[in-house]
Amino acid sequence: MVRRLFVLLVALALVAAACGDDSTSDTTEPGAATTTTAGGGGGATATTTGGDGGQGGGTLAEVRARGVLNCGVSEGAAGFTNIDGSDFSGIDVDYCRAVAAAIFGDSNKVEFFPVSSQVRFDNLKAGQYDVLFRNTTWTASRDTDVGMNFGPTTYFDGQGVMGPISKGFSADSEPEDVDGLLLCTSAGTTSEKNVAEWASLGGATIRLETLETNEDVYTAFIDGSCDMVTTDASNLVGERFTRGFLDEWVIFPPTNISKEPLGPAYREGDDEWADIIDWTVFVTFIAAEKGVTSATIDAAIAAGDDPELLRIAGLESSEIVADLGIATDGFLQVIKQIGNYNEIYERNLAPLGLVQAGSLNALFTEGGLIYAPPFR
Amino acid sequence: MVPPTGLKGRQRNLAVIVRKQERPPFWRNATILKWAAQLSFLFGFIAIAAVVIPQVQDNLEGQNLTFGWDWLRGRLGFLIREGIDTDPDTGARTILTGAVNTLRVTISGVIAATLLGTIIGIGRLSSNWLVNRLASLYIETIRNIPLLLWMFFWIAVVAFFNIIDPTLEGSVEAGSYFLTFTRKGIGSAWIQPWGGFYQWAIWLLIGAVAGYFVHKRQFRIKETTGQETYPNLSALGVLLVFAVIGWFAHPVFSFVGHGAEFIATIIGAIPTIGLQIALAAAAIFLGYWWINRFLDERRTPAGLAKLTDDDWFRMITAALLALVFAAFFLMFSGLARGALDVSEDFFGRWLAPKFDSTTNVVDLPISEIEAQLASGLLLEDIAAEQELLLNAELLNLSRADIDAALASGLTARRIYEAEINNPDGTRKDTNPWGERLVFVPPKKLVDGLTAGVAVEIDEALGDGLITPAEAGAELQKIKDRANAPLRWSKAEVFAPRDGFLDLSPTSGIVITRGFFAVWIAVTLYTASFIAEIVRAGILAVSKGQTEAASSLGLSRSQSLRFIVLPQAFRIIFPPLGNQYLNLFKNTSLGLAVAFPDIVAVGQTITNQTGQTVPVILIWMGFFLGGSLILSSIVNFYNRRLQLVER
Amino acid sequence: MTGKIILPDIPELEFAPELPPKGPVVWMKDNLFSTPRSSFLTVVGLYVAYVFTKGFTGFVFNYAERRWDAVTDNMKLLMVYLYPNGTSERILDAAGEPINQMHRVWISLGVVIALTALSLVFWRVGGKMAPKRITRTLQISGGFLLFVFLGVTILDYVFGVLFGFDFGGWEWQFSTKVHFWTILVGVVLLGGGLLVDRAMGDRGKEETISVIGLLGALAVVVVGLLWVIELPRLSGTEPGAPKVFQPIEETTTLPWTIMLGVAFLSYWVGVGLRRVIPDRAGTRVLTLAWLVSFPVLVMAVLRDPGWDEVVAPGFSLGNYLTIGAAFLVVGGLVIWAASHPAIGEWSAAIVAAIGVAIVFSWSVSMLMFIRFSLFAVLLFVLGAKTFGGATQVRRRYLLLWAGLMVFLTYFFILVKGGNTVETQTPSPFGGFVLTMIIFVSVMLLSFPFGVLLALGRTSTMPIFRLMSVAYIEVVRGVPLITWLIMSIIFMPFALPIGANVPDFVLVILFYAGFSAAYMAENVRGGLQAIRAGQKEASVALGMTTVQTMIFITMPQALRTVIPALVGQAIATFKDTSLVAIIGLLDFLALAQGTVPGQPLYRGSLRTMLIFAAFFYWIFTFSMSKASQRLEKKLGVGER
Repeated sequence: MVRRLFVLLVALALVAAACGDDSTSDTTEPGAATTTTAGGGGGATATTTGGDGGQGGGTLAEVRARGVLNCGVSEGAAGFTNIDGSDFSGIDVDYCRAVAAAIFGDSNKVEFFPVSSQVRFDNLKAGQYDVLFRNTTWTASRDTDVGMNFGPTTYFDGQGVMGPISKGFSADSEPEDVDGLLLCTSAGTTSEKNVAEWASLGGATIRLETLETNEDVYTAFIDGSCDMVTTDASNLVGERFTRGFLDEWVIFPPTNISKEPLGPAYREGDDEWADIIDWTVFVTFIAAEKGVTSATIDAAIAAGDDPELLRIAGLESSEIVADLGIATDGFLQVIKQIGNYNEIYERNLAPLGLVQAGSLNALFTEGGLIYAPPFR
Repeated sequence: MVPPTGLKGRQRNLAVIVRKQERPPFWRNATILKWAAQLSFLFGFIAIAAVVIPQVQDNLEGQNLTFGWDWLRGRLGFLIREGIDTDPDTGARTILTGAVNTLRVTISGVIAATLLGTIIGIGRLSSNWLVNRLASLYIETIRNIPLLLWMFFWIAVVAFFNIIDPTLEGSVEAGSYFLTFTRKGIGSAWIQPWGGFYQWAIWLLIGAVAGYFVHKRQFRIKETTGQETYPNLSALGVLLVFAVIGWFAHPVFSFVGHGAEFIATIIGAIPTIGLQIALAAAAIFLGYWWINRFLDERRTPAGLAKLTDDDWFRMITAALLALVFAAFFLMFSGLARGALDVSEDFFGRWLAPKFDSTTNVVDLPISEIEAQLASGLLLEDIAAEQELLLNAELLNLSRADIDAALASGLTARRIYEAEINNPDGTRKDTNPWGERLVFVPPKKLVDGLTAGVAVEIDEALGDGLITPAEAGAELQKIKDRANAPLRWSKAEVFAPRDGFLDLSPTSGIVITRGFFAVWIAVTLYTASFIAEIVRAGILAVSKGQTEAASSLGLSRSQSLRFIVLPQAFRIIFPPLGNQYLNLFKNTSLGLAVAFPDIVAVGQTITNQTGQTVPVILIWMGFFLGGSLILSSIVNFYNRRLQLVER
Repeated sequence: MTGKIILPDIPELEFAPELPPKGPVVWMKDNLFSTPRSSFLTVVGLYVAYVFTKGFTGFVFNYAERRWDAVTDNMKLLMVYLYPNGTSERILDAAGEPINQMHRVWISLGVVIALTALSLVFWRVGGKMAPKRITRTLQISGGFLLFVFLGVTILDYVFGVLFGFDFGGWEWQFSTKVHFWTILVGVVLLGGGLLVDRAMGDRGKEETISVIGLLGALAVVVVGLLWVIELPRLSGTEPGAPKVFQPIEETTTLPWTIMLGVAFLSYWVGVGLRRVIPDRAGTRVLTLAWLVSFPVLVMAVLRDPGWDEVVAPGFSLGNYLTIGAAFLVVGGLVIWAASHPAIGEWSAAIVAAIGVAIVFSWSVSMLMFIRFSLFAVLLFVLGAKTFGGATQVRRRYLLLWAGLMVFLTYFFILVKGGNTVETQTPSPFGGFVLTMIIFVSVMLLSFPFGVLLALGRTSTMPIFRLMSVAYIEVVRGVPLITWLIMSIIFMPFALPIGANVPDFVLVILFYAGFSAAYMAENVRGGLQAIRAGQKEASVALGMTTVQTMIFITMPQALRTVIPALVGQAIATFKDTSLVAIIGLLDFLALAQGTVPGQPLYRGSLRTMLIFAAFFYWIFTFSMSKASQRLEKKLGVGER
């Protein structure tokens, strides 16, 4: 007994020692240059990962040297990252490919790192991947505390609640309508807090069941183990459509519980890299605005009547593109290989029943929020 | 080295060797070498820690995730599906809820797994072929599939329970049930601790202590005189007598509530630094105590025995540890603050109301209510008036205002509604001074009176079916029932909203589907291991024992009950304890099936606050502490079970 | 609760009871209805069997949501995750054709199968079995099926239709198709068993057939079925169909047939070899082959070594060969010197010098290879005294060193060299392959660590003992899942920035550390079982402490704890499933999350769970059976 207690004390002491604040040593991280693992990371990166992987500039040079872009994506989020067999697809995946196309002229020079929401930022900082396209919400604290930088929003999302129409719910339902009910959501997101706040502000008492995966949530909802589901509206819409409950479930409230602008995240302090990511996204917006698709871009350039398009393609004032640090035809390859924003949206999100027209994700010319600065 | 003179040849050489062995050079001295090896290892370990720890700190600070305990006090803002507090105000209570959930499922799992495991283990030895086969089929199936998969499986089985949706066929309807399987959980009738339970429990405790002494005395008499004194029966009788007396006399102990409140007040007054110092002092005292005890052990009648290196090392480590802990407690105030909050909470918010029914704000004496009823008021009016009086200050009304309004013929309900609502019918949020209104609901006009019953009584009074005196008697009955120590209550399905049904959390007992999945998975899984242990234990009992039993004329079941099982139990018990520990740790997989145990809750906290290290420390402390307690209980019984070797 | 209890000598109940010598009626009377209580138990047992079988069969065959196509269609995903199989439009070779690398997986599987077959031969696994037992098993399972499906139907009819009473509790619908097929199978099994039994008469008791032969025949039947039964569902043309899915007969029928051929061939080769090679040498070589095969297969076959001169920046094959050769020669000389019997105190000086070099190597930036090699030299010099002595022994020791250096060099070239398996993820590991990698690595890593901990715990040196005890107790006191969560969410902070350690490696390290604590306790049990006389005798022979440990104590201790270690291996295998919780895509994660998440397979969750359970069960059940046999063979607990 005493011995066991003693052991416990030793353990706690070690941990306590681990937490004491003694930050005198300015460790040089011995051998950071070669301490990469034996196990599995891309063999090519093994001996070269610099000690400063996380901080400082040079991401582009690193990516160039490696010959492939490392891109963090989700482990599976319908429409954003789909893993089926040997292929990745989805809007986030397409943007990863777009960045690869801009840098290498080849949208296949990319490796995907499916990461969980809990470790996505840590692994980005640790240099596991160069950019994170993982339906990540842009928030102030992530910009400051967590130390991320965010690129242009590629999808404007928000949290919603979904319930059966047959029980008298409509798109206008309010917090008091869910009073006393059991809501389900998946773990590891801010949904839990948002919905609790929303309900208590609306004077409702709810109960919340947090399930481990998205699949668990919908299984429980369909079985009747949960009364309602709450999570990002894009997820709700997608699941409602693919599971065939389009006419039976309704999403409310009219204005989303929270704002969730989803876009790319990258490490702070590398402006060159930030510019490349940002402008790759913007270029897809501009192309959509001009109605130029992957099929029509060649013809449009040949027509030669749009100077902005020519600048994007690197055929006119090619120093703009070159100054970004990529090949002059980089953005041309983006449009050719990946397409414009509307194409990406149509390809990935429309099949889930997410209608672009009239939503926040329509072009600004059509009443949405998708807007790019001029390319000049 | 000069060899001693007077020796020759071989002898001389031997002497040299002997001399050399006596005093080897230090680099060959085994003791020195051993210590050098150990110390260099320790040094290497500390060196690695010295490199890693600042790095962890830097990295954490780089993300603004500084280690701290202050989140224990703050509100985390997320809801928990089940447990003692589903909407906790503080981080400490959040953790506590998770911990209690883990313990709940552990305790019920241990009981169920022991029963089932024993049955199956015996069934495995049955001569009945079918029973035998079924038992081994059970064991081979259950224990060869990962526990996590079993949890997934059992949560999936919930889909075969009744649908809890009034519009669908095969669904449960609102009402009371003895036992009902629904997709939101299992509702079962249950004997619930009721208003007077905790007071009654003190009576039971006294009865148990008295019973223990009675048992001891009767047993002694039996041993010395050989008379049959029925020690067990008499002890039980004493307990029963106390239980019966306590059933009626339980309010005697309501003073404990005041005591608890008093303690809570005292704890609330302790400054954090006080507890920090106390804890630090306790750590140092514990170290001191341990060293002292250690020295005592080494003390012989001739004085202190010679201390070996090991002994010194142990004592120095103990002293160092005590200092480290003291420093830790002094450096981080959050932990102490959290502990204070929890204990204040425990005494003030949990213990006090359990013992003290007078803490209800409104608990009008029955006579008063009878008088008011006789004056023509209805229960509803009385309740409204009480509510009005309770909230008068908030509404900026004086007693005189209220009396005047009542005298003018307005009912209390009308006044109240006029005061709390805006002209358009919506509820006011602030009082005339702009303070946020938090209305105190009229919880208990009479303890235990529900709204439905109040309406019934009102209607009966209105129709003249009963007299105010009869209503008063009825209320008295309700009050008595509310204060009974125990209550038999059936599971109730109610509608929180049109079209939705749910199990009422306050009546019967509700086993949520997460609890169900974890509980049944760990129970079945552990039972399969226990069954094998039981079987091995029975087989290990010497065959001669059975033969002797049957030669004494005992039947097979008698020899099993009186000869084999008691002996087998001795063999079974130690590995059984290990299985209990495993069960305790295995409940942590509950996070995969939406059961909010301490790991699941902790994970949510790390997600929301980023406090990884403290949460991991709490996990470790909880599980290590739990293992320690469980294993010491097991060891205690194990010692008692062992045969005394003569 | 029970029938009469048969006390002590039960072991034969491990097997099915003897067939009734006087026919089934007598057998039933003896075994099922011997006493009133036994009859009552039989009825209760039948009821329990009825309820559970009805529930289970209903769940598997008749539940409206069953989706067995999700299993067959996603088999490749479940087994090897994203390994390129020529269906991705993204992974193209120079000619623009989709790359199919599946042959590498098959080759590695082939190596494992060949090694297994050889091991079966050299360890002489598998005994003889009376055909009587087989026919009896057939009869029992056939009878059981008939009971379940006919009996359940009759009971359902009697209670449900005649009395309107739902006897089973919950309602399941049975489709007539399933009934028909199951009853047919039941009749065939029962009838076949009886017929064969009768045909053989008494010979069935006396003659025996080889278990291995039986297994081989079974494998032939199963693989043969692949040629007959059409498993495939998708051709890749259905809307929304994942692109991986080729018809299964195209992708697996032929390879499985080849695998079968490999198995048979290597078995016969093994039988031939056994006549030439002595068993002892054979088993040694095989053990070594097993140990080496794991890293080599993972690296060589699954990842492909880059033999080009420069395949990665900063990597040069020449460097590695030179360094490896230098260490081989210089290290060899040092070890040769250190193992000289007359080395005396100089050995300590060498150790100290190498120790300084190691500290130095870690404080400046240099190749990991050099650090590891230095460490290996240190270990060998430390062990030199123990293994030194006569020239012949020293020569063997030196050979061992050479072997290690060759392996180390090869391994580092593999790891540091390029990776030519093109997938769209950094590592192609996932699914069952990941489960196996975690399982095997954890077992391999935790064994030496666990032995060290056990030695530390039983050591007389207080610091070592204390640290071992602290480690073992703390690690064992906290559930595995918390350690795994810690490895994922806490370790990124503890590693230097830029150290690019994949999650699964962290998980393996933590899991191995966890497993080692349990391993240590098992080994400690073995150590304590060694009699003191053994040690005293070895000391009397003049052996050093280390020599006693390595040559006397450890072999005996490990022998006694083998069953416990197999038990731990089973637990480790089962618990690899926990990584699904922390987001690694292992077999269970794919079965439980990814597959049901595919739009085409919505609602296949329950089916996938049944399949996963069955899959795990096959492995753990056969492991536990093997351990029981091993226990018997070693005679543990019988002395």
